[in-house]
Amino acid sequence: MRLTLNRRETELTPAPLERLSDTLRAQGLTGVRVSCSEGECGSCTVLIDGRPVTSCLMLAAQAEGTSVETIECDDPATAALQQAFIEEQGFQCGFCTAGFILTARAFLARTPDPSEDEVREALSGSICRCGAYPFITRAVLKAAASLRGAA
Amino acid sequence: MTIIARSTEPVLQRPATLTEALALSGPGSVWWAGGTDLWLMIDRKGLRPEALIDLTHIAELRAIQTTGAETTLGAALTLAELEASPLPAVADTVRSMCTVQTRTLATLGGNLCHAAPSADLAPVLLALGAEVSIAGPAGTRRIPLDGFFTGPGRTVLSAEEILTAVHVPTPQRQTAAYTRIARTVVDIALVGAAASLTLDEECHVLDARVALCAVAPVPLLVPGIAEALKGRAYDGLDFAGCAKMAEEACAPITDLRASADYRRRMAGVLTRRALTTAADHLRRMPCA
Repeated sequence: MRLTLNRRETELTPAPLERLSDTLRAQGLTGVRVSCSEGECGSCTVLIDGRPVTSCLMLAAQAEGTSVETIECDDPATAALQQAFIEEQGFQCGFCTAGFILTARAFLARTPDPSEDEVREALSGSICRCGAYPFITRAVLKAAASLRGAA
Repeated sequence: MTIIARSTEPVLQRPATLTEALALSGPGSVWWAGGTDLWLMIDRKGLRPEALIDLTHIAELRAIQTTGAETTLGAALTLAELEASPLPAVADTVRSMCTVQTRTLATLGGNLCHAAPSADLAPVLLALGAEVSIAGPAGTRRIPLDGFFTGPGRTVLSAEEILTAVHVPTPQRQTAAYTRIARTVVDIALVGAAASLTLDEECHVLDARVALCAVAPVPLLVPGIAEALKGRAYDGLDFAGCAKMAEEACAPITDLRASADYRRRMAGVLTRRALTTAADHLRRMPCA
């Protein structure tokens, strides 16, 4: 099957019932982290045509013809969020971070100047077991400000 | 469920039209939309379909059409797409469902056909008086959503039939609201209630409905609400009687999430809240 993976035309041959998260990890994209395997925790989030999806709940076959982006994809908004997460200490163990950053990236693309409450709601599909939520919220607001400045 | 060892897994098939989809249907085939519930039934519950038929590439199942009298929502619209639907109560409901990430995949038709007693879209669509279109080998039929659900995980659909669209009447001077109790945003509803109020030209109640989820084997319409409110001025309505009717209409169970008694009481509380919110929305609407 053909798809655009991290902005490159790619051909993949997943098994019929292979989950997208497994397909991506087998491609070396190990920023896709699988934790709960049932779409509750958000750590395996990738972007499909710009929208966040928990890739553990999706068959690879469903991604045929779409554009899939992972944390490994070179992107200015991803970079701004990564920098803000570092500066605000938006993580401890880092397992959930890629999912938070990609979800935040899709959110900021539609909502460039969000309130704190909007950020918290937008990120409610991701769980951080280290409890870094206040720092994550701050990091997303900081990245939003820096992206607005860059625009 | 019997788990049968097999050497080949079913390939996800992608028909582009309803006719093609119906022709692909066969023994053991299942319709696939977002797959968020169905995948977990395959992965966790041992469901072994013979064939998977993806309905999300059929254009007519993804359309939103508004005529003068009703809005038609294609059954394969995703919850994320419904956030921008022209029906405010539906858009509000969707924003309270599952997670942002799951809403990208999960669909309107999937939420209804999975027929969970707690399905959040069921009460709001019942309260809005929705009907559904169903396509099958023998043709299409259109029936009220009230009556579509026959039990937990069961509907009137036969295995060969596809839910294609939900039709929502959009009368003038109508508002609706859905409210639910859940432990966290990601959690399923412990109890949910939706209400709609429609006024006549003199600002008196012309029609009213209350529907509940997670308090019975199927989402249900509370009988008698329209009769109780009809003809009354909408400002200063007392909803205590309606709350009592909701408590009496439900048949909740006790499970790990909540007791039957709690669910019954909350059905009344949420009925009052949903009606009050719908009435508040009416206040912002110009009346004749």
